[in-house]
Amino acid sequence: MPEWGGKTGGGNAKQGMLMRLMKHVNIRVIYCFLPFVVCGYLIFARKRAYAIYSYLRRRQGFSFFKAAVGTYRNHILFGKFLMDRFYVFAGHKDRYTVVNLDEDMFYRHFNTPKPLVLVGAHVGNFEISSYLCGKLEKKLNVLTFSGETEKMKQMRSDAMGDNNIEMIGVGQDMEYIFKLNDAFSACEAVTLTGDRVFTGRRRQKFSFLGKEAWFPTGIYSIADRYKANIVVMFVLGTGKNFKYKVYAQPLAIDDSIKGREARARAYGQAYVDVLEKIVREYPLQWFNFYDFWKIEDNENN
Amino acid sequence: MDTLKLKTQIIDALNLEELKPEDINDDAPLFGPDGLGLDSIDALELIVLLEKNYGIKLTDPAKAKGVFASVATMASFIEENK
Repeated sequence: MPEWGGKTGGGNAKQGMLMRLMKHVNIRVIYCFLPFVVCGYLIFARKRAYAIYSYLRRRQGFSFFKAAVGTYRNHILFGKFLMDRFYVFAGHKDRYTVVNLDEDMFYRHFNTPKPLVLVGAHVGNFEISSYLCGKLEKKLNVLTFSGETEKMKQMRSDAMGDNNIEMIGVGQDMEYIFKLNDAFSACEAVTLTGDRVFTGRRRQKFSFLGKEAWFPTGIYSIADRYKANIVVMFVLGTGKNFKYKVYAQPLAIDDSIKGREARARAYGQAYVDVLEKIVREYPLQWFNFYDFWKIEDNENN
Repeated sequence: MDTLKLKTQIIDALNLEELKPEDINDDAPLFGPDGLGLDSIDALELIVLLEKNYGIKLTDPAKAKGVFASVATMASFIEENK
């Protein structure tokens, strides 16, 4: 099965063309084409589709038929959420609403004079909230992967406008590390995803949906180092066009847990518990199109 | 500067429990497969270590690669900026 490539599909030209198209065409028309595009994907990107089928069948316990239909619907949802992002890039952000299920809790954590780490996942449409949130009191730093095209970076930056959001590109050099340090030192917020792992020792295995998978734990070590609040957050489709809802929950661990690795593990476990709860509730909004549970024989440590 | 003290601080800051100060060669690379194999999060810890233990704020990412090349380069940077 494929592993994650670290960037949004399409090159500069395709992404630019899609955005220009979105300026003039109603998104409902674009939605109508999704079944055809998805059928193409299911035929020509079978390995990715199989990763979702396998997740639905084995991890969610769906029947053969339900998993097959679920794979199709998952791809439709993914396409829809991606198109929604491009529709926002094209200047239609006013058409969308994002309902925060626990706004008081969220802003209580957001506005405290402490650094904040918002941990998301490739579930739902996490990214769209950055464009729709309005101007924030606390600066929000969004960690993105430098593998994205210049066009994608530019579109994201334009969509965020003056929301007090800065994107930090994670690359091979150390520049992003300095920006992260500055952000934490200034008690700003940092948002990243907690479900993508490359290699290295900053990861641990957790039982997730009945089978062990790698999750990054370095983010929790950093957050703990800076005594940051950690909030896990998902932006989920509601089933209605142009409407999303935010699910946010603070991650807390027992203060008696000592040792950095043990504390990072406890935070990781708390994250995985919330992720599992959400994914059980919204199984079709899982968008990790690779074998998430793949653990090589030589990685059993 | 006393590199033994710095090594102890690095081990402590990075939680390298399996290592002793004498296991780390002064000139061995800190990052990459040929040395300690530290990663970007470790780099962040080293930046914090410099700030907290020595009051040195390293702000230039271009300079960091040279400073964090080895224990010896870190020690000379601390010596120069104390």
